[in-house]
Amino acid sequence: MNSFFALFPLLIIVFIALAVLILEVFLKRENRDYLAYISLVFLVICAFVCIQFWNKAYYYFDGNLLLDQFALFFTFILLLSTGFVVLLSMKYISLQDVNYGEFYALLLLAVSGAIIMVSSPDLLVIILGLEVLSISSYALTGLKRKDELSSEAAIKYFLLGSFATAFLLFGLALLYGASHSTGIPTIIRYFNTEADLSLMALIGLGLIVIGFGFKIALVPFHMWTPDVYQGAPTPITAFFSVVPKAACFAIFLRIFYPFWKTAFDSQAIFWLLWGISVLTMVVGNLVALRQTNVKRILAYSSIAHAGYLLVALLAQDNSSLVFYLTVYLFMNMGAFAAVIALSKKDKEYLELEDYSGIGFKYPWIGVTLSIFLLSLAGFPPTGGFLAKFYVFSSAVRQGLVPLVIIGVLASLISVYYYLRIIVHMYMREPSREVDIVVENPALFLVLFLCLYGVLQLGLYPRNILVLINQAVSLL
Amino acid sequence: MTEIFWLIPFVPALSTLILALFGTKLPKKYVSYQACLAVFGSFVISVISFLSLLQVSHESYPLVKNLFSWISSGSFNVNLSLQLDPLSAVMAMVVSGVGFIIHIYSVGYMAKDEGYTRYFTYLNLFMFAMLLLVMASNVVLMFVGWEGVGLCSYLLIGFWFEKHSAASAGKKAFIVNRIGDAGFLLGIMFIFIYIGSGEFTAINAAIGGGAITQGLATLIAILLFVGATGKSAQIPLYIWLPDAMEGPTPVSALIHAATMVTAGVYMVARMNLLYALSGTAAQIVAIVGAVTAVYAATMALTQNDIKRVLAYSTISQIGYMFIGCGVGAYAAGMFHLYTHAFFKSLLFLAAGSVMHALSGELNMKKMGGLRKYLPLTYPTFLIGAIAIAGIPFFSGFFSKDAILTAAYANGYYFVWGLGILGAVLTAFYMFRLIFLTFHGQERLDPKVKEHIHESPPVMTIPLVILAFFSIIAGFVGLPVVLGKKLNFFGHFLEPVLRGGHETHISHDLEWILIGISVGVALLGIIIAWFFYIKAPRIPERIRERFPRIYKLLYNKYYIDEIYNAAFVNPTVRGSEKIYDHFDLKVIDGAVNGTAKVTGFSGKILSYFQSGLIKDYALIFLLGVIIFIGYLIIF
Repeated sequence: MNSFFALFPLLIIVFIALAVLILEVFLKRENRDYLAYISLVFLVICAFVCIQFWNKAYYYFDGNLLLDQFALFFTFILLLSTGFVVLLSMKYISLQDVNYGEFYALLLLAVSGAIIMVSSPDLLVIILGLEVLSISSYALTGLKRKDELSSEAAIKYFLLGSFATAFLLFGLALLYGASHSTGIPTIIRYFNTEADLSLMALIGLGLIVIGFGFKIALVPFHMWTPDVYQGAPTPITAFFSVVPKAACFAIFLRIFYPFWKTAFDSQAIFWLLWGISVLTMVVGNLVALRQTNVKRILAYSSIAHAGYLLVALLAQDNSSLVFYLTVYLFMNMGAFAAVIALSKKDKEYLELEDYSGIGFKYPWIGVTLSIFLLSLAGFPPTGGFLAKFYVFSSAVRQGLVPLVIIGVLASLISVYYYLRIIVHMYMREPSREVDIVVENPALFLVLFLCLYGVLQLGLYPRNILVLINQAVSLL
Repeated sequence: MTEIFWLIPFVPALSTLILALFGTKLPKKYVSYQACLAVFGSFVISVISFLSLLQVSHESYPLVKNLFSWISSGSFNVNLSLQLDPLSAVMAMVVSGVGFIIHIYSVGYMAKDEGYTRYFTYLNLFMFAMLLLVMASNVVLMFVGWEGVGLCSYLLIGFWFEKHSAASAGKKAFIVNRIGDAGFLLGIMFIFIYIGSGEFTAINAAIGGGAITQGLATLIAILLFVGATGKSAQIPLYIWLPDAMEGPTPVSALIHAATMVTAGVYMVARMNLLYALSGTAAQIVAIVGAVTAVYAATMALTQNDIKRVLAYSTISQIGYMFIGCGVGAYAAGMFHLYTHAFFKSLLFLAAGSVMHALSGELNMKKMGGLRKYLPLTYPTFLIGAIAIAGIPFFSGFFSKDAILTAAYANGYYFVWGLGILGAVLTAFYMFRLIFLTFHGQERLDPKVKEHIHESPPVMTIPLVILAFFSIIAGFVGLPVVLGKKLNFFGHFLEPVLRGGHETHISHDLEWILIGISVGVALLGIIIAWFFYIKAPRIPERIRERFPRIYKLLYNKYYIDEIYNAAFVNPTVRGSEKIYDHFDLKVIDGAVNGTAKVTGFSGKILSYFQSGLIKDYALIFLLGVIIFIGYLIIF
């Protein structure tokens, strides 16, 4: 239905982002927690609006903003992750001295960009959303102003990000030149009807893949990831590991799913994605073995997970991809929550050595982090196992047996580095005096919600799967 | 009453939950009562279910209890459901019965350990996972149990994680098992794709209905068997089990002798129709089993650590079980699993009792003449050794003989020969162990000798119970030559092991085969007696005469070293290489350097000059060029 309502979720987020920015001026530094509360309330309202709009299929701007179930499901995922990040940040930003008023505003603006991305079928609008997301991200990365790592990461992210955007725009220009449209449906129709495909269109598509591949951190476009993940404030790292990935994969689904379904001979693109998937899984997991910094381990782990997600894309199984993303959201957020928990005033404990003996000193953090890591490694009965099983078995069904064998072997390697953290927590004597701020109810709320999510999705995923199937059936 | 079988795994699960949540606040005594009673509860329910199963006609096997639908998404459906049939009933009774006895023993063995509650929490969790594994009605749930027991095994091997060797042994076990599990998982995926369901009944129906070809059956069966070689410590993935002896001894008895390591045998027996259809896969199972049986026995010959000898012996005995399954005598393989559970856990617990008496001493070179100090441990240990050596009327004799006879009857003469060779070695190394430990000269450390004492009743009573079963457990499966009806065990399992095939041989031949296996067992014992009692200088002289062979055996064929050189180091080196190229690590330099804020802009600038961003962008650009170049060419 053509309705102004379609703008509501976006308007709420943008409005509250600006409101937070203004309110900040009137609040004392120690009262800035209120900004977090306000953001949370409006994130919840926005999520509620999304639930109300399920099945309504509102659209606006000639269909350039389309709230179908697919968009709504992804918007929901994005809002949920942002909510988690806000909760994780509350204590963190005052402890680590990043308590600037623009923190929440930038976060909300970033997610508004991601929402634009998932709810538009037009590549030009999508790139607009991507830029909103990216520019806020660059600023968020550098928020630890007194930390040289953070500033360095911000500049790197900015330069390389601009580099990637250039390719993206060039790709879009080529596609437009070939198909005379920026709308995904028209472009797909062009690919399907044109008997003699111009090279221009194909290269355009390739460049688009590269542009989004940068954000998803696919190898070899991943070089920024570890540095940025390590340098950014940790809640922001958690944000980066989920939100841009989810948004870009949503777009991949919108672009590629119709391709696989039709007669379009996408062999070249298919094998390219196949190779990138292998590279991403192998490089991500192998390099992670050598890391001693937990944030870097998680950075490489997130690269590797992008590889598994790509397997799901190649398996042409939307619901397995979306399910994997949902599980990934919970387990990764949970792992980062536990990492954030291990910090005190002006000090974060991020080296593997710091984790020695943590399991006994802080049993809740130890147990939950272990479960998240086991889930990331794909252990039953957690959600991570089911997600991997689901993805790999649909890939085998598509005949991608070599890809699955590589994937299974790569995830075998991953067990080692996830296990290493657990071994340090439980099987080493505490080597350094680690002393953390324990009173952090918001963070523990995130830990338990993620724990619930990982177990619910592992033990009783049926209801979520029904929703996911509804969401992807429209593609 | 038949319905209650689904409770079997969940009683220990409930106990685990209580212990995990409130364990530290509960008194020790309560913890031990609850943990033992939970397992006893499972055992009672298993027995009741077993008895009720006898009342049910064969056609209604298996009884399935569907708890809830776990995943249902299009063509991919998995239920959380348990099943009861003769195979799972036998396994549930063995697991919970032996498990219960070992729980009681642990109360005494672990009494002074700081991690008492943690230990019983893990042990109950293990019981849950193991019972889930044997009672699952589909492969996915079986896999969940399969991974669960692996995790518990890891936790319990590394139980004394303060010891570096224990922690790394745990990790080794875990990782080697994951390699096997990868194969298992692929096998499951193929089952789902070509059969469409993971339920055992559906798989059997599909095989019966000719839905899968022989080649496919071989592929799936071999992939599943890769998982079995990991879990059941067969060639080439056996290397973790000897190291696993770092865990507490009751754990070695329960997990690494009686139950978990036999899960692979259970799985092959459960999938017997698949292996029968494939043929090739069954042969591979038989050959891997036979080679492992002999190979592991040779390594047991030279070890001086009492638990390591038993560990290699376990690997070797599981090899026998796989021979049984591979040659089509699934019932015989399962029978050996069942008798082995008693005598091997007896041997481990008795070894634990020896360790307890000698303040933790494991080296047989520092024992000798212990029989007068340990009046109860000695005879029970001896019973275990006789049972495993295959002396008539003890349980191990019947089961091993059933396997070897079937191997011969079905035409696997080579496998039979290896089995006989393994039997000599088994008798030899077991009695070497007995003689070195309990007979001959005392070589005790004087300090240790001061504290020497027999274990408390809470530890010796389980020994006596297990010794009793090690003697009589074999009488439920007498050889065919004594009368066809007397093999109750085989008849009970027959309805689920339809993939098995028997070839009948003449009674005379069967008597001869029995004679040979008894003869070689006695031969092994006599050689051991000669070597270690009569003329103790002989082993020394052999060692001097054949130093290379001795060294090869003593160092376990250098397999650990070879694996390190062939697999571990290349992975590490590859990781390093990739690391050097893909993770330029310049940022780490900044961390290690001074964290001064001053001069920071200059530093950033110098990074640019060092070409950092340039490098990143260059790799990006190279990626783009390859990407686009590929698109242009194809």
